[in-house]
Amino acid sequence: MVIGASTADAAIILIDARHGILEQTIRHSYITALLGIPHVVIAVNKMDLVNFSEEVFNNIRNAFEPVARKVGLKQVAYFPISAKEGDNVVSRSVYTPWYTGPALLEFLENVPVRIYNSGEPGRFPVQWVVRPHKESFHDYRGYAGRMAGGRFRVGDTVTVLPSGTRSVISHIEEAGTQLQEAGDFRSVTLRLTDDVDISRGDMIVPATHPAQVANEVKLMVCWFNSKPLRQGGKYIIRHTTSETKGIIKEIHYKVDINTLALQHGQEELRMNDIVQVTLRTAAPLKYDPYRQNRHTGSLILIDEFTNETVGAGMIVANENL
Amino acid sequence: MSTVQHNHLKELEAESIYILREVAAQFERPVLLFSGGKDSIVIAHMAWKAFYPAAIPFPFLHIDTGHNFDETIAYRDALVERLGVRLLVGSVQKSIDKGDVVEEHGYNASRNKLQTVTLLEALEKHKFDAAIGGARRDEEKARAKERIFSHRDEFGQWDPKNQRPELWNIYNGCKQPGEHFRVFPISNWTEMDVWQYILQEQIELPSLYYTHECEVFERDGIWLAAHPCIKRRPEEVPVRKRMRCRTIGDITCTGLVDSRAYTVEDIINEIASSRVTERGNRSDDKRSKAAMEDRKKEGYF
Amino acid sequence: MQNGYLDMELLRFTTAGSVDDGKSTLIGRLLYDSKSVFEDQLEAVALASTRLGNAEVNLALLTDGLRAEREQGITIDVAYRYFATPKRNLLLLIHRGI
Repeated sequence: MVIGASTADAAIILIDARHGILEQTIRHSYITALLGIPHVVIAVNKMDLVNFSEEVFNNIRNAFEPVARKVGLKQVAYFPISAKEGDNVVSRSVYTPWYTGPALLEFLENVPVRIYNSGEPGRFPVQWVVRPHKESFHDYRGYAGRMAGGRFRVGDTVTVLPSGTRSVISHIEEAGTQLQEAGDFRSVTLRLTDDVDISRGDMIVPATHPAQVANEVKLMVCWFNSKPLRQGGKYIIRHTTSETKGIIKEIHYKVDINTLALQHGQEELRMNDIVQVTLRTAAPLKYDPYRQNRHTGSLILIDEFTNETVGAGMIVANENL
Repeated sequence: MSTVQHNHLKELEAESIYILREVAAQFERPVLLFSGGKDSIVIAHMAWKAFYPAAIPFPFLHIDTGHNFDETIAYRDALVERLGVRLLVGSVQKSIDKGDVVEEHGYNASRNKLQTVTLLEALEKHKFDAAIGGARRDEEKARAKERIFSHRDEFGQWDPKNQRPELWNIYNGCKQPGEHFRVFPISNWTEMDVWQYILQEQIELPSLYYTHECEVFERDGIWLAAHPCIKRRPEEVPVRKRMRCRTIGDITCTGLVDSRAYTVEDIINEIASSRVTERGNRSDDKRSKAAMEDRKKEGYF
Repeated sequence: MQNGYLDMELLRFTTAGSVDDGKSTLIGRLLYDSKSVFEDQLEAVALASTRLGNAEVNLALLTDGLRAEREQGITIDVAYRYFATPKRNLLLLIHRGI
C-alpha cells in the first residue's frame, strides 16, 4: 500500500459490515496516517448483507474512532455503502434514510485537493542549471526545478543550502514567460541577482525560513526488499534532487502494524516492515519533517549493488539529535 | 489560500517538465523517441519549455517503418529544424535488408512489430541509456502498470514482476552499464488531457488529425488508408470519404474515423462523447488482447 | 466544455481493503457508474466474464491488467485508472493492498 499510495490525496479504507474492524483495518489506517494522506474515508461495505442497519454502521464508526486517534488520523469521513448493489457509491441509497451524508463519488468530487499556499515556506530543489550557449543569452544562468512547497516572489531574499549563501530572486520564468511568483508545485526557472555557485541538489529556501540541514536524521522506513535491512547497512539515498550515500546508524524500533505495538531490540528488518531508524549520510540533507512537507521530508533507499529501490523513508521531526 | 488560478493541466505539465529535466540530469545519453504522433509532439513541446532558453540537451530518434504518411515526415523535419535538435532515423527497411528482421507477408502484414528490433539496434548503436516515449497509462492495460522510469535489461526486455517501486516524485535511474531506461513523462495524462493541452498551448499538428478527403477501404470494421503499402484483397475496394486519424501510427495500422472535426475544439467535443478508446482504432492492438504486453516484453515502447 | 476542463482539479485517491472486502467491486462500480468505462473495454470484460463463468459483467475484472491476472481474476501490484466526472478529474491508484 505504501508504494501505491505515497502521492494520494485521499484514501478509502474498506470495512466489511459483517466483520467490523479487523487487524488489516488497523494496518491500513496506520499506513494512511504514516503517509500523511490528508483525506480519509471509512467505507463500510456490504451494507446490503446487514439489512442496511444503522446500528451496525454506528457501532463500526464508534469502534473506529479510538483507532483513528491512536494512529493520528485527524479527519475521517464515514460512508455506509454496497459496492455490489451501488448504494451510496455514485448515488444516494433509498435503503439508508438515516444517513444524511453524500454519496462516495460526490465526496470525492468535492473534497479540497492539495491546499496550495497554506503558509508553508518556499522550497526549491535545484534540478538542472540552465546555461544557454547562445550569444543572445550570454550571461544567462537559470536554476530549473519544481517548487516543492510554498511560493517565491520576485524580490524575495533567499538562502542557498547547504552553503548558506544569500541572494535575491531576480526572475521567475517559464519558457520565456516572466512570472511574478511561483508556487503550486510549478516547474519554473529561477534567476538570482548574484552570481553564486549553485548546482543540482542544492536547495533554494527563504532566508527567513530555511530548511534544516543535517548529516543525521531520524526516519520511519518502510522496507520493500527480500534482503533484510540491518544496522550498518549502506545504501544510496535519493532525496529531492540529491543523491548521496547513507548508512543505517541505529534501528530504534519496529512497528507491529496489526497491533501498533512498538518492538525494540530489532536487529534485522524484513519486507513490509515499518521501522524507525537513524540514518547517517555522506552529504548533508536539506529537509523538513515529513509531517510538514511530503516532498522535502521523504527519501528512498537504493541497494548499491542491484540498484533496486529497497525502502522509503519519512523524516521524523528531531527533538534532540 | 492561493489566489493563483490552478488547474490540473498545469500540474500535469509541471510534472512532465520535471520528469524531462530528471532524465537530462540522471542519464548521460538520453534520447527522445519521436513518432510524429500527437503524444510525442506534446512531449517535444514540453522539452523545449523545460530547458529554455538553452537548447534541448538530447536528440530525437524516429523509427521509420518506411510506411509513413508523407505529411508525418514533413512535419517531423520542420519541427526538428525549428527546435534545433539533432534527428536520428532508425530505418526498419535497413533492418530488413540486413536480415535482422523478416518482413511480414499477407494481407495483414505490418512493419509495426518490426520496429522493436530497429529500435533496440538504434539504442545500442548510439549507446543511449534513456529513451523518452509518449506512452500513457490510460491507453491500455499493460501501460496502466508501467512506471514512469521503466527499467529495461540489456536485451531491452521489460519484466513486469521486476519493476522498481516509485514513491512520491523520486525517480531511481540507477543502472548497470548496458542497461537502459524507458521514461514516460505523460504517463498520467489522458487522451483528453493531451488534446486540451494542444488547445491551450496552440500547438500545430499534422493536418491528418483533422477531417480531410482521402481514399480508404474497410477491413474488420476498421477503415484503413488505400495506400500501396497495404495489400488489399480484391473485394476491398477503396472509396473516397471524409475521414480523420484519431491516432497516427504506421499507415498499415492507422485506423481512420468517419467524423467531422476541423479544429482542436471539434476533436475535444468528439472525444467527450466518444465511447471507443483511442487504441480501439489501432488494429495492431486488436491482433491480440495481450499485444501490448507481449510487445513490451520484447522491448517495444 | 473546455473552460470547465481547464478549471478542473485532479484528485489522486487510493483504496485499501482485501479482495473479499469488495475493493475491486467498488472500483469497478466507481468506473462503471460514472460512465467512464469505454465501450470496447466493457466488451472485452464481458467476454472475459463469460469465459470465467459469470453471467453478468464482473465489475472487478475492469481493473485487471496483465494476462496472468485476468486469467486468475485478481489484481496485483500498482495500476493507475483515470476517470472524470463533470466536476473533477480523478486518478485511482490501485495497489496490492498489504
